[in-house]
Amino acid sequence: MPVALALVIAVSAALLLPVNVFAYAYSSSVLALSPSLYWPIDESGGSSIAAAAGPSLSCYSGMLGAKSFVSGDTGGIAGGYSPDYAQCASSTASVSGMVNGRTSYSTAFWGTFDSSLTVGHYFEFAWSDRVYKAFQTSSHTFAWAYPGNNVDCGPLSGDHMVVLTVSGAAGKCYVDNVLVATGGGGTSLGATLCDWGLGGKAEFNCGGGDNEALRSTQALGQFAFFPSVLSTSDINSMWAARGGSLPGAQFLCSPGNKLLAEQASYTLTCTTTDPLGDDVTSTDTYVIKAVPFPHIQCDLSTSYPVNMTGHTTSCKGLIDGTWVIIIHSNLLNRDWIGVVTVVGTTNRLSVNASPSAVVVGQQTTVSIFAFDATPTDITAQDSWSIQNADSTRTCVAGDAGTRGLTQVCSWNAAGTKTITIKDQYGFSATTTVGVTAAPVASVACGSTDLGCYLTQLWNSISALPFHIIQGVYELFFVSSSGINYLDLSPLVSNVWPNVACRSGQTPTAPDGIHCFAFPFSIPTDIGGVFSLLAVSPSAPTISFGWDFPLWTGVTLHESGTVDPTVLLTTATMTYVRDAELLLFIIGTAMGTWRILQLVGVG
Amino acid sequence: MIWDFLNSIVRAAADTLHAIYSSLPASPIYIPASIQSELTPIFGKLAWFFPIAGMATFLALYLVAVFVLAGVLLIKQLIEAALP
Repeated sequence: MPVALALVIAVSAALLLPVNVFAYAYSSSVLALSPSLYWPIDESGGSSIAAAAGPSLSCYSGMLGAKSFVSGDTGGIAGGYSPDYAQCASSTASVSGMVNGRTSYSTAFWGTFDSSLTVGHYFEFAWSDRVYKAFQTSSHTFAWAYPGNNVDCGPLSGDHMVVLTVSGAAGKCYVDNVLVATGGGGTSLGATLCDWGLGGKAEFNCGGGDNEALRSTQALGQFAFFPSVLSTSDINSMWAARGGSLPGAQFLCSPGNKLLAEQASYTLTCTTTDPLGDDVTSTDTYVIKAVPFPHIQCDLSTSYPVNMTGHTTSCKGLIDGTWVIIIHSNLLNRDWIGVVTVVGTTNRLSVNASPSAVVVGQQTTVSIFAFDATPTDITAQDSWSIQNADSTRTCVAGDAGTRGLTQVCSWNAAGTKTITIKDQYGFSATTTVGVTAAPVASVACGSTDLGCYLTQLWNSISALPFHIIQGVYELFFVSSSGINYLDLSPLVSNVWPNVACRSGQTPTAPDGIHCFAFPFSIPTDIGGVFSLLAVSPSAPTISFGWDFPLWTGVTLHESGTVDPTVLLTTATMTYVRDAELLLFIIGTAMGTWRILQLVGVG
Repeated sequence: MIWDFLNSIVRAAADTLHAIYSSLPASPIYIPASIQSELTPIFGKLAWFFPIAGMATFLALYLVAVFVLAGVLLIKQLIEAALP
């Protein structure tokens, strides 16, 4: 699904748009929301702006420059342009989706803001009696306005993505993906769009008038108008794409890790987002793929997989331990894995020695893991002591870190050592430590012990031939692949060749799948004929039905079954067949004798 | 090491055999399973009257014996022809 969705977006955009428009993720995310107008403003010079949706724009010369708001963006209205009334506009009077009494619409754009400015202007759409615009006011705030209804986005500084939505009389302002203000909105855009402008004051052909003007620090880019109210996930998708990559599809359930008391339940909630970050949980269905019942039970089911009811499920911990739950998203065809730790009285306390294998004299740290009945991890607060006696063991108190009280133990004799502890609540736990003998250090010769040196030298020389022989033997007779015998199995499996069977052919090879290749197949082919002939006898039972029309017009019906085994029993027929076989053998022998006589073999 | 060498020869021989055999066709003289399933009940009823299984077994043994005997006689004649 994610691949398919991305493909649809890519293909649609690629068919509709110039290559440079589709060249980065942010423009893809905007186009996926079907804007009526979209000016990426990738131009860094000149006086015209190409449109990815809607008509193109003509700007006052010198307004465009190198200004990047999102990854891949190369230009914009750069700011720093001094004349008042400087703007980018189009002579096109109406755009599909923007007129005819529309009451739900949104704009999204990026700008460079300066809260110290008293006057500023970003865009403006004008109608005969109303205006929809974004501007800087004298109160140092940024606001969206329909006459008498403003949404105050607050004082802003620096580069931001601003989204203004209007639904009936309600307006909202989002700054960088965050809803910062709500307020009154216009009731309608009106019937006919008269004029629009980016950057400066629009030239109102409808007779309106305004005093706002472009000021020097205000840069603008990535302007889009949508004939609908953008949702939070829509805005999320644009915001997520600003860095150059789409957020990608996600399937998550929460909580991922759960600590649960025995017989307690918790709720798993799953959500799915598509590659653009839109929440598509409502269109997804989930399957509880694997649950280790009877240790854990989800959705009251006793067997899995089972379809999840809705997008939440209740899971209950039945048996102590750490268990894994797997849930599958049908929409994304993806699995999610969660971990549940069920804590009951049997594992309220556990003890661990690290390392668990030591040599004599080596120290190991003994620590615990403890839960209360909630269950809450009380390891750091629980106190405990070693209960069993061991004369070979020496323990001292270790550091009290995040794992609570610890003991550092060592042993003076080898063996499997048991440590049994009890905590302050009376729970017991046991662990074992393997203790092995410490390696014996080789004895070095003293500095003046010539006899010791000579003895070691002689031992080395006398052992040399044996080492050489052993090396040669291992070189030739110890296999690097570990097989010290002649392995004929590859040959055996190829001595009697088999190939894929023909259509309708019964497999003849030992694997029950393939058939022996021709002419190696001849014995089995003949065998097939004989096996057909060597079939078990079955009595030829005959059923009949007879209709006899009488002169009276009535038809008599008679039916029945002739079963020869009534008279010719199986034992009888066995004797008959034996006799026939004997006659056949005698006949064959006599025939052979006659043939041999004819060819002259004595 | 010696075993690795010998086993590599075995594997090479097996691969060669496999390469040769893989070009062989499947048997063209098989009895299709569909026909076999239709013939089985017919032969079953015939076998109630006639010793088909016994005859087939005898015939198979007979043919083997005849071919073996023919082979022995052929070799014998070849040896006798070669002797002065």
